[in-house]
Amino acid sequence: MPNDPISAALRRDAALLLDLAPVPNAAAWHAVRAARARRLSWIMSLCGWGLRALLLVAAIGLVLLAPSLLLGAAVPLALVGWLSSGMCAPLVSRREGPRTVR
Amino acid sequence: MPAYRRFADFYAVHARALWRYLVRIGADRTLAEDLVQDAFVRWSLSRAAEWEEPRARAYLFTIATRLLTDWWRRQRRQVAWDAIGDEAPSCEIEASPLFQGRAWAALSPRQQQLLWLAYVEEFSHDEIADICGLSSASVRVLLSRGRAILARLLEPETETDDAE
Repeated sequence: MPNDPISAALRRDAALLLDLAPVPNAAAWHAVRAARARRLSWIMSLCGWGLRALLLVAAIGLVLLAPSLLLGAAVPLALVGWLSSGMCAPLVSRREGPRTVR
Repeated sequence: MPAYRRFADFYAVHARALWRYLVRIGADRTLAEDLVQDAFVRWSLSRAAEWEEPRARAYLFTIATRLLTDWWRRQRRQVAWDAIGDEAPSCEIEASPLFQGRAWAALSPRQQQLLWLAYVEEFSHDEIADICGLSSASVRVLLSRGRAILARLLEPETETDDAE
């Protein structure tokens, strides 16, 4: 309805109003990235704790099955200790926290 | 096309139109900016981000409409759309034909919303029904009434223009 006066009035107003609209910026995109980074950080944290638990169970099982090999458990236990220090989290800096964009 | 690129394109095309819609149905400029951001974030996290363009766009307007309604409810300014009262529009433009004779302000918020979605954004009746939470039949009737009212309100200006 290009010649309809109502449609024309509304579209004229829309064109004028568009001049006042703020220029799109990247704020929404940054928010989306931050949300994704939070989700990824949570998943990585879950994986880290799962791995630690697995290694701990393996170490305990080794000691129970072969007490004479107690010395052999030292290696996985040391690994558990290292993982618990947080050094294995590749996307999380202990100093800066999760790398999210604000 | 990667998801982030699709989002960036979609945002660039529709952000200003969504802001304009929110301003015309009663949000002030700053609130409209905030709601636009919120609406796009929610849209990008929903399944709609994978839908085809017309359906995704209609869903974006639905999200924005609900966000504005929620905001009004939080502010306890209204419970229903038609109970807003005769508040002045938030962004009057002197040169716009809608504000000559205060035609736009004489319409109810629901009529403003329906007319805008139908004639500016060119949504179908079914899409408008989804956005507004009404039935298609109601949209048709309300739109017809709103159109008749706006035609009557714009008529003096049209006649004046013709006389000139």
